[in-house]
Amino acid sequence: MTDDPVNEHETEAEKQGDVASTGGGDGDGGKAAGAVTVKELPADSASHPNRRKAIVGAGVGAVVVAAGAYGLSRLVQEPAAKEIDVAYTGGESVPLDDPNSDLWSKAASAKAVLGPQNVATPMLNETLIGALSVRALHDGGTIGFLLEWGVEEESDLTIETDQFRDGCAVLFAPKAQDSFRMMGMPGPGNAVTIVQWKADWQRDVDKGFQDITVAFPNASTDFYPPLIRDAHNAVDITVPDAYISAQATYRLSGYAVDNFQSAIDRVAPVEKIFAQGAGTVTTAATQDASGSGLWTGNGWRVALGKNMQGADPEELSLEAGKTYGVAFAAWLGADDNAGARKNPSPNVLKLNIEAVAQ
Amino acid sequence: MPEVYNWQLGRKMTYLYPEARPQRQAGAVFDTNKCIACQTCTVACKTTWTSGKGQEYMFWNNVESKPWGSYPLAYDAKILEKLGAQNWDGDTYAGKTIFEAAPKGDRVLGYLPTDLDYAYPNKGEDETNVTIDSEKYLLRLPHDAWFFYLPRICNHCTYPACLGACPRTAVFKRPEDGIVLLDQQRCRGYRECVQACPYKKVMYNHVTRISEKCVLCFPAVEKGFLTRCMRTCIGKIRTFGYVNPPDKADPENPVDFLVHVRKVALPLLPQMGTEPNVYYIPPIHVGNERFLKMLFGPGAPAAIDTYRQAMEGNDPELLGVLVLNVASDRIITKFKVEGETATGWDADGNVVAQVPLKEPTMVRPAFDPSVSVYRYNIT
Ligand code: SF4
Ligand code: SF4
Repeated sequence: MTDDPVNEHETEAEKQGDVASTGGGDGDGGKAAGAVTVKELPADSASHPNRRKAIVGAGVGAVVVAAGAYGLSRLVQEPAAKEIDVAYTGGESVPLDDPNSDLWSKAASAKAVLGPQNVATPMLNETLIGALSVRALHDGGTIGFLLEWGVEEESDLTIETDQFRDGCAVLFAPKAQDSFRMMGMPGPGNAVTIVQWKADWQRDVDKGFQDITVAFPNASTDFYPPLIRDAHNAVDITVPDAYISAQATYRLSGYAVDNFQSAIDRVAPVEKIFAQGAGTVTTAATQDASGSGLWTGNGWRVALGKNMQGADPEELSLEAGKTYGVAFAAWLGADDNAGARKNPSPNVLKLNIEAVAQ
Repeated sequence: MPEVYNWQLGRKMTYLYPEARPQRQAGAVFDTNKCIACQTCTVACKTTWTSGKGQEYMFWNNVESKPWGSYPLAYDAKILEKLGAQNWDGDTYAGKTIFEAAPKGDRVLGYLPTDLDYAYPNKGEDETNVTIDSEKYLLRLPHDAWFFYLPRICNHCTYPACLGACPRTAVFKRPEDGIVLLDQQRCRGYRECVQACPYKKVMYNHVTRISEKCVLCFPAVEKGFLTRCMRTCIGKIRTFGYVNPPDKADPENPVDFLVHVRKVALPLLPQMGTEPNVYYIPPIHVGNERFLKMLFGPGAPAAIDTYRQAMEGNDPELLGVLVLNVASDRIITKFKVEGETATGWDADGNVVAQVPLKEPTMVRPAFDPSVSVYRYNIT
């Protein structure tokens, strides 16, 4: 899943071009605004009949039913935000580990419109998440966002071949831009920093690594070279416990080569990512972004953020009192969203970081 | 989109990237007439590459019984149905490829299997196309009631759908040998490749949550050795080596000879448009030409005639290439048939196999007077 609410696609495919460069969304929340509808997936996307039923309330519409502690119910009436103001907490730490913290109400809620990613293949032709509710805070050292959106059923596993996860991301750019397409293009000063929250990672963090028995409860194998199940004591070979030796981890190739997507010892549900141009989404060397997501029963409430001072050379550092660009994206697991099949902001909004009063 | 030439279709087609053939292309020929579905190849691959946790369901090499078998379930029927009519105009494909038929917003026409689809690798095993209700079915060739075994691995396609579909360029084709690999560091588990591969030979790892695929035992191939599945083939059905495009065909190269000179080996589902590099000698006993043409393209009837000629002793050269199958664990890049012997050389010019065209047989009298005993069988 990406990751890059921008251009997670290949240059050559981009050259096929001939696609509109709007990035979708028309500034009023698109087709989703206001409607309290529950959608069936279109028949042609139904290679996964088992999941067609589990679909979302369409975008903001569902948010109406999912009225939460922070006035989500008003989101539908709100105009689409063109700027996001990041409020100074007054010195208290940004509660990245607590989406329910009262501190978030210090920041006004803004409606960030999303649309389908219809700029470059592979695309998402139709958005089922029309907008996010956004609140932003900083404490001088950390910048954090509270993102909320409605979904009927959570998708927080990626064990099975056809399981995709819910997720959301905040993209930091040097400046606001009208065109979605231009974001993250190569060139000096165009690098973007992204923080992405993933529902399945959250579950790993909350409940421990979600091993195959979560999806296949009766799975049992007597032998995974070089690990032998203790049949007598019926001790199963579990991840991560049994995977300590290099010889054993060798059999989990993604993990063995340090692919961050394949981590079995996750400590945060958020990934810090860099991108500079199409198809360049890269896991940051320093994984210091953090966050926490909560399933509210009818949607997600996710806090996520990063240090304002970048730790890696590619990272965008942010200063209080200055203005940058920000964009958002959300992925709907039940709609098989992953990677470029996502719901991004159609353009890069202005991000005004409140000055710290001296 | 760039236009590329797909010789298996006899025409140009669109692909995600411009034509870029590797310096040489690893390829193979599987003789379906000799496969006994012992699954030794399957197990050899399984124990070598997919014995880890999260890979339980994976068979990078599988052997299915046609017409009913498939792994994952109905992978071929599903993509064929999605693709619509697949007509040939002589040797030129007149239908659409999976690239040309890609729906709006997609790069490739495909579908994503569910885990249940992978749960029946032996579905339809040894089942005939029709119920046998009368002896007459058994009495002629080709058979009215038939089945055959189809061993399958990744085809290391010239125009891989998996590679074209990946927005991260995590799938790549090696310029030195055309082997298609999936970078375990770059993959982010989007599964675009799993959806796109018409042969469903990219698979999703339940534990690492990224995709994996057949690596054509590249560490062995780099050293001039056969892959595990080829090397262990009990039926000796597999020719492994390098395949050139038709205009560069080398008649002394076993794979080129079978594919281009005798045209006895054909691609599987060429209409997909990926230009697969594993070729098949179609089964000679299958009494449904349309089925064979659907699977192997319009050349199937001629390939069967050619093969039968060799079996009847009229084509020693063809027979010679086939008896060299798995006669050595080295990759044979050159062969020659002289008199009653087929000889194979590796890339370094060493003779690595010498095989008689006809297996020598000896008839021993049942009674051995020297020890005054009757012999039974080989004792
Ligand atoms: S058979 Fe499938 S996995 Fe193998 S190269 Fe072709 S498209 Fe890719
Ligand atoms: S080892 Fe050879 S004969 Fe046995 S199933 Fe595999 S391809 Fe067929």
